[in-house]
Amino acid sequence: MGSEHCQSENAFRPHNRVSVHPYEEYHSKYGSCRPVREFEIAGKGDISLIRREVDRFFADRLAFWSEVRLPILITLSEAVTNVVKFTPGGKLMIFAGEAGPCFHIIDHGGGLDLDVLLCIISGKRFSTYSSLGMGFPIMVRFAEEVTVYTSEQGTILVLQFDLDRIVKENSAV
Amino acid sequence: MLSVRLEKDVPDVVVSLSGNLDMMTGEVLQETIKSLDSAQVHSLTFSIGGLDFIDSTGVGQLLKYYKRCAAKDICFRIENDNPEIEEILKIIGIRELVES
Repeated sequence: MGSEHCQSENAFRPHNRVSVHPYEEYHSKYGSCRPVREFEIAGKGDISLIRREVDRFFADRLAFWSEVRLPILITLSEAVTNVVKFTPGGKLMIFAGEAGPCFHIIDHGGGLDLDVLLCIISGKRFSTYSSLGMGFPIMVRFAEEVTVYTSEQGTILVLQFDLDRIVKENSAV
Repeated sequence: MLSVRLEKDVPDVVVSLSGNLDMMTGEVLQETIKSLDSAQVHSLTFSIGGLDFIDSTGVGQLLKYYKRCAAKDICFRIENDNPEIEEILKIIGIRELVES
């Protein structure tokens, strides 16, 4: 699951690591998948709780988790923070495929403004959407693929990681 | 959990942070900064090498203090020797504004 990339005809790709799809496509693609863990996102206390639980979960399952944990936890924290700040709430689903962890962040907000997303991706930082403006480049920097399913029903972010890439980049620092 | 320590008081203030700086913990830092008499502050330095975690909300809070300092002509610095935290500052772009 971690290495799957969407090939939808309706996809819009504003960045080589970001694709935007109609909301309905999420259910046809992932509807039958079952997460290994699930967390409600209701308030700001959930941000650190989720970080702590995800850290604990993968520390027991991935031998080299300590080498990749910070970029993944920061990326996840940005996505969950956006749910807390800008939507009535949502949930996080964790999938643990052979390629590594994959996170689905589902919110019940009014959908993502694609014009704003384009501005952020094109490097216009410190926008009026300050948190999204700073958080999204972090997600794009560390995740291998950021897949966005959005509509007026809400937004679903699917974050996939290339663990080998993160390990190589860390060892190069 | 965020630990905030006032290493040096006015006029050249140094605030040392350790733990996590995010949406949950930012208020702890806000309380310390509010307690300073800004009229007496010549410089404000955050020492953040002891942080285990910072996200864009935490960086945004530091950016807010930078803007306030800039408006009052107060020298503002962020000292950090943690390369993972430094990368976050660079991705967000705060290093284009704030010296180390």
